[in-house]
Amino acid sequence: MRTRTLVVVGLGAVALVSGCTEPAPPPEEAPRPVVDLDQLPYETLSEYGFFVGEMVDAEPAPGVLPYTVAAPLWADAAHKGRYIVLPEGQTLQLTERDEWLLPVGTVIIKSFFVDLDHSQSGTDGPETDLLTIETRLLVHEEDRWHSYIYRWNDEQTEATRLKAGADVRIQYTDEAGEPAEQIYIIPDENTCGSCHERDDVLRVLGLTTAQMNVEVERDGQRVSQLQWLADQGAIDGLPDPATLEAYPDPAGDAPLEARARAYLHGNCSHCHRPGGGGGSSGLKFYWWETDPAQFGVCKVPAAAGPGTGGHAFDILPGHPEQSIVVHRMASTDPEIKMPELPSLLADDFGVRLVSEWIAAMPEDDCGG
Amino acid sequence: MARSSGWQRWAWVLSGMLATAPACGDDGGETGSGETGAEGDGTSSGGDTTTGTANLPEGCDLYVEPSDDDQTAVQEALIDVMTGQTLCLGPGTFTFTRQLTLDADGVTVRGEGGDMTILDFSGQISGGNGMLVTGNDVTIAALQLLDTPGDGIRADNVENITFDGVHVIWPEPESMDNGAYGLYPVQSTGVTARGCLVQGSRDAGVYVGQSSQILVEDNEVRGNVAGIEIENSTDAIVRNNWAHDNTAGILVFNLPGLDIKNGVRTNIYGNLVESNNVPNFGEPGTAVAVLPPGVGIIILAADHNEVADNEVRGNDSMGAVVIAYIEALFPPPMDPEFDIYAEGNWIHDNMFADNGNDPDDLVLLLAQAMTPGPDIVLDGCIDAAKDNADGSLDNCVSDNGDIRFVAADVCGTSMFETVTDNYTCMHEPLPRDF
Repeated sequence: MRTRTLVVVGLGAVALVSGCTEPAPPPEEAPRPVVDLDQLPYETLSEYGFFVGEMVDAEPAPGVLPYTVAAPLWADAAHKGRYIVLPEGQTLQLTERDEWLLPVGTVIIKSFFVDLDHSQSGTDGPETDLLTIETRLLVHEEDRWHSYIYRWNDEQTEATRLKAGADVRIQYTDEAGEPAEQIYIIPDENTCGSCHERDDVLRVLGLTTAQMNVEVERDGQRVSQLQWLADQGAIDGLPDPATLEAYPDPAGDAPLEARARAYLHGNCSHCHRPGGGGGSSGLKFYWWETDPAQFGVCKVPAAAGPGTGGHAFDILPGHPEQSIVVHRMASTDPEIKMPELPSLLADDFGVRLVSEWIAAMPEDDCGG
Repeated sequence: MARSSGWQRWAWVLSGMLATAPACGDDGGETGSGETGAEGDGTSSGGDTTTGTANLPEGCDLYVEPSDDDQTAVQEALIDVMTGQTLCLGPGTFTFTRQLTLDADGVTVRGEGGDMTILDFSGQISGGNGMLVTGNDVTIAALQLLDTPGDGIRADNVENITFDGVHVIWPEPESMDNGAYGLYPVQSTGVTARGCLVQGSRDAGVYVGQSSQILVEDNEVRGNVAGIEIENSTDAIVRNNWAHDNTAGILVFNLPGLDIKNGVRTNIYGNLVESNNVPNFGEPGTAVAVLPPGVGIIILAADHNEVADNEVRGNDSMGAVVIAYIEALFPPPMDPEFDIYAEGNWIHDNMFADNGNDPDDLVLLLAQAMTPGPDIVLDGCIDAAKDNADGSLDNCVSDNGDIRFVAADVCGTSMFETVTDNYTCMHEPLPRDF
């Protein structure tokens, strides 16, 4: 099994001088990706030409723009490489709150890779033993967005379309240096909709102003991601990013409540909102909800079944140990766990963060 | 045994249809390839018999039989199946580790029968349901979901979902490991559950939530906490079902804190609701966990429902009850738009027999220690803030024969009465068909 060394995911091909206003001219030897909407989906990932050189090294081809989000979705500790590909010469439109408006022909790429040696984790050095498992595409075709999933081979030389998903067994070295195994689930392509579908329409999730309004490192400098995308020609007429909403880093140094709400937005709000997969719960975890009852405070569950863990309220202020939200985040039982899909492991960081937030709320017995 | 007899049936059908064609696959043995049988290019749906269609049983556009990779074979077929098509699942047992998903519109998924085509989810590691349906105009028919860790089939936010002859079974009685809902359509319009069997759910066997235009008929629900539950839903017909040996038989609930609330007009008629005396094994914190065992029919905080021509017998606490969402049972609703009262309901022309033989303490309290327990209980509550000049909010009880009746004083108005005479009002009957 071939592994690789990667310092920062997929930035090598972008020649950028910070602050320049003209898009950098693409290197002549590297063509833009091939996205012929009439021929999609391709059987293999390499046919798209998203990356130059060894595909697994994820060096973006011209027009393939890496990005990150403020509050990412937990995916069983997998790392993600995210890229957006706009049709040549076209731009995206920012919106205040909802997902950005992206032209037909846009491709969103997300690759998932895992660290096979946890004994080296937590150090600041480069990840040295990475295995890319799958690459998911969202393609804005003429009628709507479509989702396609590609599974990487063991040799890490190619990824082939996989419609029905898979349980992937991953052998890795744990923190103590001992051999360990994890099951990683590649979802089936319908399951993309369980997060991305709302009101019967498949949507992008991370590409919103507040999620994208973060600082990133480009060519060794900290720059505004929005400004950088504008500099690449992806955004026309960008307002000053400092005037736009930005979610805090859940692991950063913003106030506790803001970090917890950003985490819940990134991990829960795609389902828990009207029209979403968890809309019938009545919970609304999006960032802009201001009524605590709507995000679970003293709210009784609707159809949680055994998901309640015996607790009466989604959030019982002051008592994370008696809050259904925490109970479900911490569970790995498929009937109980949240998010439902497709992860198998609890995000200990998220459980801690949300627990601290609930613990810090003024106590309230919710009338019970 | 079931499996081979099913195969013999297919082989017989096929040998009659296509004298020279081999039966589907081979002998239905253990070494299936995991490939789906599908029409050649998926676009030519009729006419010429090609090799691509020769293996398809009649009425099927895709056909999958059990193999060594059922997850891939069935899920690929669920992705490939197109509007207007029928995906057939052969007889035998399919095993899965992940939730199945169906997102296409206008699709039928059909097995060989509720005890012939078994989808076994006992090894499922991912997903809150055995199957999740998000496409419109979908029919799931003649198959069984066995032992899902979570819910059986959920249909989320769809138009027109039909469950026909579907079995959802948790074999272990009253087990804390059983899933919550058997058939679980929610926020949907046009729901039909017909001829289904649900056994062993820890919440409700047939649960219809936040939906409208609902037909639940000819089902058997047994061994669940709640047999059938219509929750926050409007315009439902629940008829000719057999709800037996649950904690409670048939429920019409309105609960607070949901976007679709205050459901009205469920018509419950022609059902046999008997011996719903199973101990409550619901998870504490859920609405049904507060149910006293031994109740036939419950209307909770729901308005303008009709209960007629049912046979309600052998339920040890009480036959039927109409009750507000009260703090003795539930936390305060925290939902200003939620109407806690159950009003304008009409219970008439039912046959009550042999109920109340061993009332739960809660029912004894409600009925002021009446023994045997009552056939019908009204809570005695009408919202004083509403205009009821025309009596349309009264709860009415008429023509149920010789019954033991209680109008309790749940709302503290000292209305406890044990005669029905004051409640023999009538309402306009609800439609018995759509």
